[in-house]
This record gives sequence, structure tokens and C-alpha cells, in this order.
Amino acid sequence: MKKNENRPRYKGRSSFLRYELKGSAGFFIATMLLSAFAALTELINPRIISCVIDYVIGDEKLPDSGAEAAFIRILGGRGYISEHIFIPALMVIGVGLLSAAVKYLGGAVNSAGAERFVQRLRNTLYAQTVKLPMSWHQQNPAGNIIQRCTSDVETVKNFVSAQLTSFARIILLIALSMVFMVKINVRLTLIAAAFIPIIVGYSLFFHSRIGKTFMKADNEEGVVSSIVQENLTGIRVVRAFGKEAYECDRFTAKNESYTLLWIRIMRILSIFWSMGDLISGLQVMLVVILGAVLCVKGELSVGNYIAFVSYNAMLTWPVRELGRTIADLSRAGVSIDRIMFIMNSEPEDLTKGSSDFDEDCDVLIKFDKVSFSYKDGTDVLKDIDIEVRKGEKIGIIGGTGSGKSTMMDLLTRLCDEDRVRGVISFMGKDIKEYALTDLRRRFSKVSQEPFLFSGTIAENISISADDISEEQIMEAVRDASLDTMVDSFKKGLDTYVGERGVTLSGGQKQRCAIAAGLVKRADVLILDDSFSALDAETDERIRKTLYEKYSGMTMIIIAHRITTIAGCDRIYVLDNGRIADSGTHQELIGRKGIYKDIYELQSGR
Amino acid sequence: MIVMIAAGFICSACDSVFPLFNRYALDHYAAEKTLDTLRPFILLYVLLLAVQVAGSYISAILCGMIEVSVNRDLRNRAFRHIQELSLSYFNSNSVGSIHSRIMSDTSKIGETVAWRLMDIVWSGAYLVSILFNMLIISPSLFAAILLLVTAAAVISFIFQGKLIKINRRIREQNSVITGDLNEMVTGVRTIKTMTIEKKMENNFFGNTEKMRGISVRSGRLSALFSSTVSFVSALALSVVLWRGGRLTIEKAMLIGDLSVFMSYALGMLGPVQSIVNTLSQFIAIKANWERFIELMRVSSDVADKPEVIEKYGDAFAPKRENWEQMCGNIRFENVSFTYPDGDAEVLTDFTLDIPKGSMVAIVGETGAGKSTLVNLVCRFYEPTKGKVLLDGKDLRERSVMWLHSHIGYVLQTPHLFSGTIRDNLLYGKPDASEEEISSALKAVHASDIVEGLDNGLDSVIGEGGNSLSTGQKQLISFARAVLADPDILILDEATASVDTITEKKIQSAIKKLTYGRTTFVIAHRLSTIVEADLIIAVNNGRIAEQGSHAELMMKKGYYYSLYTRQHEDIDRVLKDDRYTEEMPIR
Repeated sequence: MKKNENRPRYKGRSSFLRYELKGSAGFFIATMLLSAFAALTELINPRIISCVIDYVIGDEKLPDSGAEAAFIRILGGRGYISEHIFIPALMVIGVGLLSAAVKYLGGAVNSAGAERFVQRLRNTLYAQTVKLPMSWHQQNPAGNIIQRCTSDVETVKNFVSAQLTSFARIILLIALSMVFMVKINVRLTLIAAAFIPIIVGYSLFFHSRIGKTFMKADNEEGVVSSIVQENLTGIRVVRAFGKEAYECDRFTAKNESYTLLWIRIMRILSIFWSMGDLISGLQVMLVVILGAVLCVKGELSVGNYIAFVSYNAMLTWPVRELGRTIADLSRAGVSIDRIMFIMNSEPEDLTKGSSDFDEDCDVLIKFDKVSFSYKDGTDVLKDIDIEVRKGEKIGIIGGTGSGKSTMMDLLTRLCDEDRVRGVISFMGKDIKEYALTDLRRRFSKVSQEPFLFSGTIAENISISADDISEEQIMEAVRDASLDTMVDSFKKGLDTYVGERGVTLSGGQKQRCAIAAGLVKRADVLILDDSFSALDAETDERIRKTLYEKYSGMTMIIIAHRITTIAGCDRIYVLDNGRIADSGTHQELIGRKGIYKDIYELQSGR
Repeated sequence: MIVMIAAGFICSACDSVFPLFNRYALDHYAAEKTLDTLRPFILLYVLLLAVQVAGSYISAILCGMIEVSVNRDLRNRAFRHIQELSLSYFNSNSVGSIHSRIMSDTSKIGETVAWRLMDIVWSGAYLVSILFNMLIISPSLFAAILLLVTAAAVISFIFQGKLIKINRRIREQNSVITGDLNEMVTGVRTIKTMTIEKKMENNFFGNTEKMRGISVRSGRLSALFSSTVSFVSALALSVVLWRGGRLTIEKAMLIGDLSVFMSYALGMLGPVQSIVNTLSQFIAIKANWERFIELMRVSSDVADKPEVIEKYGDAFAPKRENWEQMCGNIRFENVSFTYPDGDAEVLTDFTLDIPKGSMVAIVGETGAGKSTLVNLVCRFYEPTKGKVLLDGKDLRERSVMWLHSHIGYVLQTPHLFSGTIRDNLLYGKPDASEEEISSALKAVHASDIVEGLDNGLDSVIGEGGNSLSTGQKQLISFARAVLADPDILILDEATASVDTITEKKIQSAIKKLTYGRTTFVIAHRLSTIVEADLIIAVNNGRIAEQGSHAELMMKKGYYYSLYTRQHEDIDRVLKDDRYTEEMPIR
């Protein structure tokens, strides 16, 4: 995919398809042409065979002009062919070979196009989603987004690559068969064709009806699956409360209702299939009998009769497929809409803005009367004034929900900026003036519940830095007191973690994240309650390293434990979104207040 | 099942007979120019059609039934089996892998057993009857066609094998892509703060590129497959035209027979492909079946003995009338223990008496093995040697269910179920009254949490309770344990994520809560456990010391060093060198 391609906002489904089909549309047009050609070649063999049966093997009277006569003439006449019947036989093989080659080509081109299309779609979707602002991600549940990026993408892909092309192919096939059939006998063709709207309408009606039940069954399966998931993740709780029987009953009940739903689907499907069989069976029967009657009346030759019956047989499946395809079209429309919702959301512009940082500025961070609210009315932060100078270690303490993490989100512009009042500046300039990426590069943030990507420990630690030596990684590992853990793994730094790897404990994850934060070498290191799962000894060890070895680095440390922040140059005490107090540890314990209360509780004084 | 096979058989037999009707129509009416038997012909045709439609309905619906019931039964059995497995199994197998055994392997098995079996019956019967008809019409042509059919089968088999392999790779790559998306969406905050959008994008683009490579190859392969098959069918037609044409010209065969042969030759390749496809499907689901069976064969390490089940009932049919009251006296008697997946003995000949109502604290560094004793008391594991006695009786002499119904366990990583707060609180005691609920919430200072939510107790808390913070989840799960009113209470870092002031409040409540119950407290912060009756200090997986706070402090051993280190930390931090002189930047 080209870089920095400007993607338009999609006004409708067609503009969406137009954009996403760039680079693959040619393949699909080629596929349609090829499959039309393949369909054409498929119709040739029945003609050859009926001609040979009629005029060479049988003794129909050869008309003076027409395709058949020309065909027989070119091959050397009736007598010659009946002596050398392998000639038309070889022709059948030849046509078969041609048809096979065209089919292969069509399939290959189609899959090339389909994969190109789906790749482009996935890539634009990914690039878009990752750039959508944090506030958007908070509003839209993860499972929902992922479903749009996976199953909806799959639906649209099938629509474009399979349904659209097969739709074209089916229409063509029907049209061609009809043309040949009309040439053989108009009356019989009309009778055969009368069934087409019936079958199409019937299957269309049916497919649009069953779609809802399928969706319901999918949801039910989701419920069953999440019961299993919950049971497995909470197995200790289930055991500890002795609720095995209850869990089993719950599962069995849901499983049963899911099963009943499927039985209903199966019933409908069975009726549909067998009714479809019946209708098309009747149609075939009608053609066979009426054809025979026409034969007897002399209006139809035996060869033409055979050809007609085989054309008719060829018609049956495409017609039955047609209804299904049309029903699928509407489902694809829904998926396109769901994808467009993501595509048309406003992403963050990562590069727009200044990247000039006044490196000499002594005051790194300044909050000037900053307030913020997630919803109207309730301020999470109120009139925050904070100043952080270069090289300072700043501590922040406060109860759950006092707005500590929100403050850090504001600093890195992760919150909805329209809701921020007051000015936050970094290196002397309003943070809104900087390009997002450049601004965020200046911060290294370690969060309370760190996220590890599936990959090795080394990959996770070096994730924000590209050229980094094993040596540097090891150094960070030691600084984050992770060395004993790494040593205990057989594969050391190359141990796989994350979804399909070793599960790390909360404390181990936090230390990994700290190591990754150190490797990033930003101007400001933010430790957002990153020590909460560590035991006191480890906490102390890491803290000491940070103070001594990284003493020149500006740090903001958020914590519950007094010991973690007691050594900071300045501590801000947050209470209900306001700064209740600030000062050094000594100053704060010297006066009455929340800080002193916490201190006394924790030290048991 | 038998009905299904019979129906399938009838159906495909009917299918294979229809061309005979066409032949009759051709030879009798068209060729001889008469319509004498038209009425019985139509009647027979309609009758056959009806039989075929009925057969296809019955077999389809039976297949569907078989599929869903196999699916349901396998899942029910697997789920039930899972409830009885010991916890060690869950420690060594990831949730994802067990989950896929219960959900996807079973559905694959159900589908294959029902539909594929049907396919084989259907196609097999169709094929056999076609071949039979062909053999009767012309043995020599039959031989030629048989050769082609065999060739087609072999080709299909080879292609299918390859396709299955490549499709497996597609699925794997697909799960990589889904994993990427999942990671992007759930880790978007980290991506943004790390400013690694481009890197993640490029990684993802690499994976979709790889996906395209594999998929295109698979697309080409299946295109080649279907065109080969269509070529083989052209070959078959050609053979029939050539040999059959000769025979007909020589008057050794009727024109009608020739046309029947034509349609047979064409109609045969479908069933052949389908049989081959089914065979390879069966080979492919062998893996699913094995994974499922493996799960079902695992037996619990801590299963109750038959005589125990006889008396106490099992988890699904407990005989509560035989259950004794629990008192809460625990005794470890010469217990030795090794974790099933470890090789070092973590307890050796350990003996300890814990009288009813006492509070035992277990302290030590992260990963030191503090949970071992608790695991043994809960009988999540059984001692390798010696025994754990409860009220004077070996735990193994009574049922796990009885034991667990008397234990309350609050975990460090709390697990809440999706549903409302009320559902979660009532999990351990379904018949608790409003008053009991609110007093349990008050006891652990969790009332504020509930009041802060829009719908109070009836607020839905999402999957895994994810709309609550870790600290809030801990408090709710604490309240849940309290509500169940257990005789043994286990607090495993129960308040680690709760802020200091709330924790302090709970501390005082714990004293009340634990009165009369035997309590185990596992804790990092030693200030919370100084008042325990017995403190067990664990180091490197082994018990280093035990005694009361005062005793252990006198001893000046491991606990002493732990305690002083933690306790004087604050003062030490301030005396640290760094605050007296600035250090240069590295």
C-alpha cells in the first residue's frame, strides 16, 4: 500500500467499494470475463455431442445450412466421421482442455484479486483503527471492533470475489443456456424458463428469512462460549464455592437452547432443500415429458432433445444459487456499513503540528488551571496547577478515582481535547501545537496494568526502540530487577510471552513494562502506579536504581505506597480531582492532611 | 442413524434412476414416436420424485439432528468433566486450549460425523448404482469409465491432502491476523503512548502480505483442482462418444443407452470428489477427536474415593443429609509435598496444628510459594506423603464438595462473573436476604462502590467484571466470600489493590469477620498481619520460620529482616545518599 495515501470520507457504499477496489478491480473484471468465457466453452461440448449423435450416429436429416452442417462438412462429412469417430471425440477433449485452462486462469486471477482486495481492506482498516483517538476506543467495545475487522471484512471479501463474480457468471450462464434452448425450441424454453422466477423468488424469500435465525444462533453460540470462558478463567472461584453443579446446569441450559435453535434452523433448511429438490425435479420432469411429446410430434430431433435436456440440467443449479446470492448481497451491505463506520470516524492526525522543542527550556511541564470532564457536569480534574522542571522527580498520590491517571492521559493527549479547559504546556509551548507523535515520543509511560504484546520478552522491552543491542536490553532488564526472572526461563530473553506464551504475574508484567519504559529514553518517565504488584523489596531496589542511575531523567511517579514516592523532589496529593496539597515528604508529614494520614497508616505509627 | 442412512440410500438410488427415465423417454417415445405408456410413465416419475424428496428431507433433518445432538452431548460431557478436573490441569493448560477443545473440536466432530457420513452414504450409493447400471448397459464402456473414475479419485485425493494442509496454514495465519487486531484494539493505549503505530502497522502489513501469499497459492491450487476434474469429465465424455459412438454405429448399443451413459459419465465425478473429500475430512478431524479424547481421559488428581462418593455424593448430586458440621481444626501431619509439574519438594515432613478460630498469616517474597499450604487445605492438591486432617479426619475421607462448601476464598486476582453485582454476591449463597447482602458489603467497606453505580446492586458489570477497577473487584469478591459465611476463610492478598485508607478500614473489620473462623492470610504488607496467632515465613518455596510476631522478632531471623526492611523503608529512603549529593547523568 502506498504511504500517505489520502483516503476520502466515504459518502456511501459505492464510494467505499470504489476506493477499496483500487488495484484489484481489474482482476475481478478479468475474472468475470474469464468465467463468462469458461461458461461459453462449457456449452460447446453438448453441441458437438448432440450434433454427432443426430447426424453421424443417428440418421437425422442434415439441414443444408447452419452450424451443424458446416461442422459436419469441415470434419469431412457424415460418412467420414462415422468411420473416424475419434475426431469429434478428440475435439471434445480439446474443448475440455481449453475450458479447464480458462477455468484455472479464472480461479487464479480471482483469488489474486480477492486477496489483494482483502489485504488492502484489512490494511486500511488497521491503519485507521490504530489512529482513532482513545476516546473513540473507550466508547466502542473491543469485541465489536474486532468483529468488524474480521468477520465483516470476510463477508465483504466474499461478496466482491465470490458473489459478485458468480452473480455475473450465473446470469450469463442462464442467458447463454436460454439462447441455445430458444434456438432448439421456443415453446419448451418458455416452459423451462417459467420455473426460474419461482425458484429464485422462493430461495430469495427463504434466505432472507433464515438470515435472522442464523444471527440469533451465532449470538447463542457466543453466550455458550463465554460461559465456558468464564468458567475456565474463574475455575478457582467455582471450586472454592462448590458451584460445579450450578455451573453445569447453567451451561447445559444454554447449550440446550442453542441446540434447539439449531434444530429449528435444520428443520427450515431441510424443508427448503427438499422443496427446492421438488420444484427443480418437477421442472426437469416437465421438460423430459414435453420434450418427448414434441419429439413424437416431430417438432424436435432426438439429438436436440438430448441437448435440450442437458442444457436444462445445467440451468438448475445456477438458478437455485441465484436466490441465495441475492440474499447474500443484502448481508454484505450491512457489513459494508459496519466497516464504513470505522473508516469514517475522525482519526488523530499524528504528524500535523510543530516538532520544534525548545530543549533548553527549564520548565518541562506546566498545567495552568486545567480542568477536565468525561461527561458533562462532573469534573474529574479541577483547576490543576503543576510545574515540573527538568530532572525533577515528582510524586503523585491519591485515592482510587482521584484523577491521577487522567492527568497523565491529558499530558500525552489521550483524552478528548475538547473537554480540556486551561492550558497544558510542554517545553514552553501548548501541547496542542506539537505533532502528536513527536510529543508522545518525549514521554515514556508505564501503566498500572501493563499490556504485553505477544512476542518474546526482548521484543516487548525493545518495542519502542528499533536499533537496540542485546546489551542495552540486558541493562534495562537488570535495572527493572527482571534479571532473576529472565534467568529462570530456559530461553531467557527469547521466552515467548503474551497471548500464546508464558503467562506472567502482575508484578512480572509491571517489571517488563518498566524495562520497556527505560529503553525508550524519553524526556519524561511516567510511572503510573507501576509498582503496585511488586513486593516491598523489589519496589525498593528498582526505585534506588531509578534515583541513582537515572537521576538526570525527569520522572512522574504515581503510587499508593508512601515509600515509593517519599524520595521525590515534590509530591502532589490529589483528592477528588483537586490538588489538596503539595511539597516534599518532610513538609507534608509536618502538617495535617491526607498525606500525613496515609503515612501514619502505612508506617503503623 | 440407520434411518438416516436408509433415507440417504433411497434418495441417491432415486437420483441414479432418473437418467433411466430419460433413456426410456428417448428410446421409447422419441425414437419410436409413440406416447402409449405416457400416463404410467408420468405417474411413476412423480412417485419417484416424491420418494426422493421425502428421502432427502428425512436424511437432511436427521443429519441436522445428529449433528446438533452430537455437538450438544459432547459439549455437555466435556463441560461436566472439566468441573471435576483438579486445578493442576488448569495450571498446565491454557484457558484458550481447553476452550477450543470444548467448543470448536466438538463442533468439528459433530459436523463431520453427521454430514460427511451422509455424503459418503449418498455418494457411495449413487456411485454404486450408477456403476451397476453402466455395467448392465455396456461392460466394455464401463471398464473405460471405471479407469477414469479411479484416476479422478487419485487426483482428488492428492489435491485434497494438499488443500487441507494449505488451508490449515491459512487458518493459522488468520489467527495471527486476528491476534494482531485483538492486540491493537486492546493495547491501543500502549501503542499510542509508545508511539509505535507505524511499527505495528508494518508488522500487520507484513502479516497480511504473508496471508495473501498463502491464500493465493491455495486459490491457485483449488482452481487447478477443479479444472483438472472438469477436464477429466471431458475425457469421460470423449471416451463415451468415441467408444459408445462406435458401438452405436455398429448397432451394438441403442441411442438412448448412449445418452444415459453420457449423463452417468458426467454425473459420476461429483460423487467421486465428494467421497474423496469426505475421506480426507475424516483424516483431518482425527486430530480434533484426539484432542477431545485426551481431555476426556485426563482424570482428576484429587478425585474422591468411591466410598466417599457413596456417602457424601458427588459434585452434581451431593447428599447433603450426610454432611457433618465443620469445626475448623486443621492439622498437617508429616506432610511432604511436590507440585505435579515441579521436581523440588516444597514441604518435607511438615507438621502443624491450627486450632479452630485461629488466624494464620503466611508471608514471604513474590513467588516464594506462599499459596502451597492453602492449596493443600483446600485440597486443590493432595500431599505426596502424610496427611492433612480436618477436625481429626483425613481430608481424603470426606468429599471435596463438602470441604469447599465450608471454605471462603478471596483471591489476589479477583474473578467476577458477567452479570450483575447481585448475581456475583449471591454466587456463594443464593438465598441470602437483602439485609445479609448489605451487611456483607458494609463489613468490607464496599457499600460505596455499589451506591456509586447507576443501578446499585443490579448494575451489570461486564465480562470478568471489567467495568470495575481491580481494587473494587477485590472488595466485591471479598464481600461474596463473607456472605457465604464459611468456617474457613482464606485471604490471598485480598486487599493488595485497595487504597491505603480503605485497606485500613477493612483491617479492623477483618478482626470481626474472622472471629470464630479459621483464617489464612497471605500478605505482602506485614503491617497488616502482626496480630496473627501464627506467622509462617516462606522463603524459596520452603518454610523458613513460624511463630507469633513477637517470637519471630525476638529470633531476629528471616521474618525479622523482612519486617524491619519494610518497616524502616520510609526512613531509610530519606537518608539515602542521593538526597545529599547530585549524581551526574550516567
